[in-house]
Amino acid sequence: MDQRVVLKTSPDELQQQGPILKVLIGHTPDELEEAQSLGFEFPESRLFNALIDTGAAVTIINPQLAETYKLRYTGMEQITAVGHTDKYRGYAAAISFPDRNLRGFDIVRIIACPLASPVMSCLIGRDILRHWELIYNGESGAVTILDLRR
Amino acid sequence: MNDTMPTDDPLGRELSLYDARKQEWSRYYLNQFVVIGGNQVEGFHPDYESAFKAGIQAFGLKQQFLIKQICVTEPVYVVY
Repeated sequence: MDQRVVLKTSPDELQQQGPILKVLIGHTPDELEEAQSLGFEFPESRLFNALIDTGAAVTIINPQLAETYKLRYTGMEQITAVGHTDKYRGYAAAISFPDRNLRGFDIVRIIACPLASPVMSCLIGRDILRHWELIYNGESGAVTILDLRR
Repeated sequence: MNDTMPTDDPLGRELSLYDARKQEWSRYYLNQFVVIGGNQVEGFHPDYESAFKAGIQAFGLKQQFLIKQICVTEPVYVVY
């Protein structure tokens, strides 16, 4: 299936905000299966704004989200942001795009690192982008995503 | 920068084990992902995804486990 998705906005908006996708960040299918067998429930996630960020080596989320949704902590990672290097918690998560015809990721390591913008909860980094082809058309305000996974 | 992680880390025990074995493991498992829960080394995996699946299978939801890529120098990820 050709998973080509076009994010359409105005040229000005695209320049101001960058390419934004709504994402659902939650637990991995393996965790959900295990939780179901134990009769355990995780907090339900909701849609968040995520910026497609070719400048981010890894996918980042707001630390509050990781705590609120009780994501699985799997170890610290070192991040350099705004010229400062520090250690931040890494979590396992599933990322999906329910309002787009775009295949999700069942297991992704995401790093909980404070984000500069209060309206942005997630940066989609190059760990996810390595599976996509991106076409940025600033003149029309359209960004096209093609999932390259077979 | 110091390679060891903060001591208040909930995975401190697992990190200590990793630090103790890192040099030895880097000879055989360089760039692979090790899964450690408590004092138990579950195994070595080619990527984070397979390491996480193995960790959940071995330790379940209740026990914490560390997933760590075996690197000579700890990676620093840049966010511009």
